Amino acid sequence: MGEVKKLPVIREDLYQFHFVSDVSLSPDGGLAAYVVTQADKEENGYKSSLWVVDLSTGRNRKLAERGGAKSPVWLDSGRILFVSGRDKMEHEDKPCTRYYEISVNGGEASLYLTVPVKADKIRPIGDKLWLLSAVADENESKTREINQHARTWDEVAVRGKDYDIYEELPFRFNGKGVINRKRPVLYLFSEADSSLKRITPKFLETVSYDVSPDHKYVAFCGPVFDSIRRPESALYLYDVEAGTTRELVPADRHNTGHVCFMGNRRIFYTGSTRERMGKNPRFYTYDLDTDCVTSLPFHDMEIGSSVGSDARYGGGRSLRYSQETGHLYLTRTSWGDSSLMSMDTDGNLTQVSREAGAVTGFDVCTLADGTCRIVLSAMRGQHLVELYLLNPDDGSEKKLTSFNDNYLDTHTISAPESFRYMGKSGYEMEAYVIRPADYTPGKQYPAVFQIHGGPKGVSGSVFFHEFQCLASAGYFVFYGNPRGSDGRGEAYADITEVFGTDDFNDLMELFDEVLRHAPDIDETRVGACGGSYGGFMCNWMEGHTDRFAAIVSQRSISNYLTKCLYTDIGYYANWLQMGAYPWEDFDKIWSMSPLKEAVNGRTPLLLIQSDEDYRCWMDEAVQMFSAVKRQGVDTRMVLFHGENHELSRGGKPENRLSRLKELMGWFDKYLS
Amino acid sequence: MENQPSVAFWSRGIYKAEAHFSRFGLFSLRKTDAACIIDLDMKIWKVMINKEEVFAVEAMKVDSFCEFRFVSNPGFSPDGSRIAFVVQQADMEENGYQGDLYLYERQTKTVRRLTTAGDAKSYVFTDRGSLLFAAGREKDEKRDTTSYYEIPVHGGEAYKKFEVPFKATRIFHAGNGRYLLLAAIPVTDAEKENPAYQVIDEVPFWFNGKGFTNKKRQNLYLYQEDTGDLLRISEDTAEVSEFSVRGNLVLYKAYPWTDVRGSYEGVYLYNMETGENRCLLEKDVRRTGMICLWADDEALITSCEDNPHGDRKYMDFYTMKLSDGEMKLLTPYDFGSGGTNVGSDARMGGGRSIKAGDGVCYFITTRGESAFLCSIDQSGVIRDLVAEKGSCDSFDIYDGHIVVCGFYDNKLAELYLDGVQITSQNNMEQWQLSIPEEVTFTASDGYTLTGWIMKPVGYIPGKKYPAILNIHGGPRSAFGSILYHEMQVWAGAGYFVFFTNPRGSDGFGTDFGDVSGRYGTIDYDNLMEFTDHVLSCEPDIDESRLGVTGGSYGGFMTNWIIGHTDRFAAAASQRSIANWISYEYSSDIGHTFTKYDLGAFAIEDVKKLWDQSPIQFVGNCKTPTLFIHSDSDYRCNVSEGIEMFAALKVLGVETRMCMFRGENHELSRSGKPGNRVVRIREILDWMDSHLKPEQEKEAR
Repeated sequence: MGEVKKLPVIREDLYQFHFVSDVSLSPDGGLAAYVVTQADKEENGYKSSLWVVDLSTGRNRKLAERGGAKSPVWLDSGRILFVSGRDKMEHEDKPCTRYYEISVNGGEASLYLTVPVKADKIRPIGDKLWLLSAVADENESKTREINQHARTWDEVAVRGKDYDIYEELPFRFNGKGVINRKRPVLYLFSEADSSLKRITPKFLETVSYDVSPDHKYVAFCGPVFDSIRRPESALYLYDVEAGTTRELVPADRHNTGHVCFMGNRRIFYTGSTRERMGKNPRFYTYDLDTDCVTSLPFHDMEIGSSVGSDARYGGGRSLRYSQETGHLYLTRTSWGDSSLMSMDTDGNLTQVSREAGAVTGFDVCTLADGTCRIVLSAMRGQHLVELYLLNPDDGSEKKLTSFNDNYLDTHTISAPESFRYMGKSGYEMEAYVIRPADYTPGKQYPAVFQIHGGPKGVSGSVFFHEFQCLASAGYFVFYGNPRGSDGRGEAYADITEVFGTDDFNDLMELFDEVLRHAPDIDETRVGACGGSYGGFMCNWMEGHTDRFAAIVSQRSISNYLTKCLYTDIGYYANWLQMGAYPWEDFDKIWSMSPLKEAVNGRTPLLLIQSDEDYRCWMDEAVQMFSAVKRQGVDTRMVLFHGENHELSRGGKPENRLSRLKELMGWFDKYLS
Repeated sequence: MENQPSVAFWSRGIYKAEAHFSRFGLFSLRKTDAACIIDLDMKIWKVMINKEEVFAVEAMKVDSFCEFRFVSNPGFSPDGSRIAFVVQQADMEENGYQGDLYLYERQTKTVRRLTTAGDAKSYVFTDRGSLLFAAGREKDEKRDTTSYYEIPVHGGEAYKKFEVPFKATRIFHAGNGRYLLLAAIPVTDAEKENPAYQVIDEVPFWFNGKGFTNKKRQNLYLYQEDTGDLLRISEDTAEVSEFSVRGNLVLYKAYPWTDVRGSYEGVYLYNMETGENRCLLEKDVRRTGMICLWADDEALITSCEDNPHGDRKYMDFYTMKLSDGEMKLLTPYDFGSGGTNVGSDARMGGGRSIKAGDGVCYFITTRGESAFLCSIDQSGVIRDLVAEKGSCDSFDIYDGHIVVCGFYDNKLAELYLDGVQITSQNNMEQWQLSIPEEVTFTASDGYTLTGWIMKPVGYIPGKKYPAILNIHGGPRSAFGSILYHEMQVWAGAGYFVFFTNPRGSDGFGTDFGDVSGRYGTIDYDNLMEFTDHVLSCEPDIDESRLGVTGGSYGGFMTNWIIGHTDRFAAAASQRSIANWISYEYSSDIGHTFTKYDLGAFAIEDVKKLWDQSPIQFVGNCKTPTLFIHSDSDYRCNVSEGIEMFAALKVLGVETRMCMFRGENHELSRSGKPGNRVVRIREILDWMDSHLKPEQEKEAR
């Protein structure tokens, strides 16, 4: 018998993927709980289930799945609390979140507690007391229940259904809809009397928070505003017993970001500076005994993984302190990879994980014998996210889950190859090339140039469903990380006021390098493809080069005169990128807007957009479409209803398939 | 407190007061043995007969329009003995409008209601003299069909007559059981629709009030009642706008297109008998307006030759030979023809604005501040048939008798037959109105402008009042003195209200009406000079408490004003425009509008568009401004209002935005009643909170 022929990667494979996320260790370190999410064809949504892996035997068990099971929290080493929609009624008139308790030793889950808000996260803080985060509506006239029997004309139209009032900037936010006067807040929930006590002040938007290990304090940070949200964010300390809050670091000092207790008396936090784009956070600690702030060494890094992939779902930790080791653990992106780092109390950084790929989450604890146990959720090789047991001493990893192994064994996956070259900018650059699945040297192939978003994101070697679909369909796929990207420090990430020049030059140079490296790419049949900032760049390419035979521009930006104003982050993020508001410097902003030169475009252009994308609003794509279409260029726009900026990563499965179908159809039409 | 207010303004209607009063005055009414109570600020009058309240007379409120009965669409029966019409009114249960058919019997001079289900908003007379109307009366009525019901005029309920397999937007009876229908249909090669997403591959791809129109065209169909045959007359890709019928001939205007739509429609002649379809005027050749088949061999058509004013020039009357399409200038004309452009938020429903006779065409025209009914004959002579001050909204004519649906004498629209009012659907006596007083002044550009001032209801001379400048849309439209609900609400809430027709407005000829490339210059000057003039006429206006509002072009101008002057203490900018560059690329009419109204396309002269964009001047703004927009407004895209709102937020200027869901550019005129109430209240609350001292604010 010969080798079984492997199947090509197709868009419908989305239904075969298992997405592992939200890993969390039991207090004794014996088990790791995690969530597995799958796209659900029937419901055109996603279903999640709760799993545990026994770290001594390596055995994985599914604990719960009915009605979905997610957001696990360990009650003790034998019991897990999780959220499920299993008892959700068809029409619930009041918001609530139901938490279920399940034993890891067997038996069904039982309802443990119900909190009267749509809770985002919950943490036990002592006896029958919980800290939970949820969105509070601080509008004066609250969104009214729909009045079926209005008696006066004033009662007929309902705010939130028929109309909205905007009093703030931003008034709506990608993925959240209208957020006017709505704030993520912290509550203390008492099981005894089911009472909710809000601990964050009015109009404070909770950005980050942590609870001290002894459960006596809650540290939190975030901006307070009632008209326009500014980054200024103070660090506060809430005393659980006294019920009092005090400000530790004022809002104008550090723009506090991540907050994490390092023991009971020290708080780690990040501060940001916003004078230019791309800036990385500074690290500080606050000593509660001396009320002193200590500045830690600058590591020129963001906390978290910036490595992009369209083949994962769900979250993971990026920052955690280990009381026993006295180290802070955090993830960081470097070049095209992200890894787990540890930091000692003096701020010295050590790399803990050493494998290439992306660390999407982790947990750390100390076993009874004093050894440090670390579990990662990570993308390794061409695997989707799986769990790995990391040996902190030598960096070796042991794979714990194999949800997608069968899929990968039976499909033709073309792993990216990377090479480096010295860029004209003086920076060393890295390019990634994925060969067509049926690659035969000497044959000429079409290719797709992929440009990531951000611009402060990175593309690496990890599995990317869209790229593999293209490779299986006979395309080379190549990409890199031009200036503006993460992973190379803040100077590299800073393309303030040079949009379309430094970044564009880097990309065109990368194009040349790839052609040199992969001569089997047919230069006349190369398409460009990207989303968000990548969509900006695609629109820019439309008007600035004729080297591409087709362009697919997604959730894109065409006109910074408008983008700066009507999007959720426009007034500060895009303003910072442009260095001016439209009324201050028309010429500068217009010259960095793809729309200006779009009318010179000759490249067939497909625009993919979602109508609830408040990050890169549909009007950007509309303007681009109209301008190019009117020049007689083949132009098409596909507008998804009810989706947002996350369509390609978390949209309804059928819409994700339609998106891939459109994208590949466009390239097939012009590159095949 | 002793007050002796003037009674002059209150001699109105049948009850004429001749009395004096103090805090609560009792006084007699001449015509009846009634008494009237008036409260201190004169906002509410109650008429009492034998101590029972007969009616209260009060200023219009934010929801008064819900009591309006909107009369429209008068039509003579085939024998001329009856006049049918439609009456619509807001309905709280549905948060919509109900419409029913009514008949006026000329012999008995009586009005009777024909339908009662509230679902009849238009009709046509059949050959039999019965009425045919579209309604969805069956429970399982499919969404993509239209059912026509027939109702006899001599009694009996309506019954379903026939059904067509699409949503028809208009029906016209072409004689001999033939009906012409207009309906938006996907073109043959349109992709199959998927409800999850919208494919867009032409410009324009959406249209205000119609939603996404990509690859859909308004086709013209011929339906034969006896055989049930349905035939599409117009070309697959053609968008049909107008048609005119005479005997077997149908003259229609259409624009066949793919990819990007141009502006100038073609004219086509279809013969219902032979099926012959001929093009008389190719598309993109010249601009045309109304068409009218007034002879077997000739049509009347409005059009214009090349002109320095371009598309801003009013169209002249031409004849068009049906044999070869040859056009000849018949009479120059420097006004708009084919409908009223006198604005009001108190009208609803359609009707005829053009009608062909033998060698004569009847048409409505906007001239001065009024809309008149005129005729033009084959010798080119134009005659005024109804030239009363007000607005002739629609009409019909039969054997020399003219029925008009129009706004006259501060009343809501009613029907007038040969000048005599024949319907009284609205009891205007229940409201205490502020009557617009005309003022004229000469502006610095040399034009004499007419404007109006409305005094606050209950005006007490010597007392200081806030005032609101209202700016109309278009800019090619006009304010007249006709009833305007929201302005009555403001006057009722204690504001002076003033408005005029600045340069760019309709009704005063091409030169006056052309502000192309000069937005924010002469028009702005006109409005500021008018404001100066009003302040000099009315010393009781407190000039530190001025508000300004307007919609569409009026919203553009409001945005412009707040960037150019601080004389207004509050502004309410509605369905506005911030940036002509984004407007060109996102509005349904953007691909033609900026060229003709702003003087350039972005690709030709982006600076010219920017220089006329209010967002450029927003850095100067200090005026607290409310923005009102609808999220399905594809004329002035919602992005425009948001750009302004966000800019003001960034600049720290007090601002607020009210965004209506599922409404479009017509919110103030035909939006859901509940939403219209919210809109008016938002504007009033905004004005009150900035223009009234604390003690003056009152709970309404």
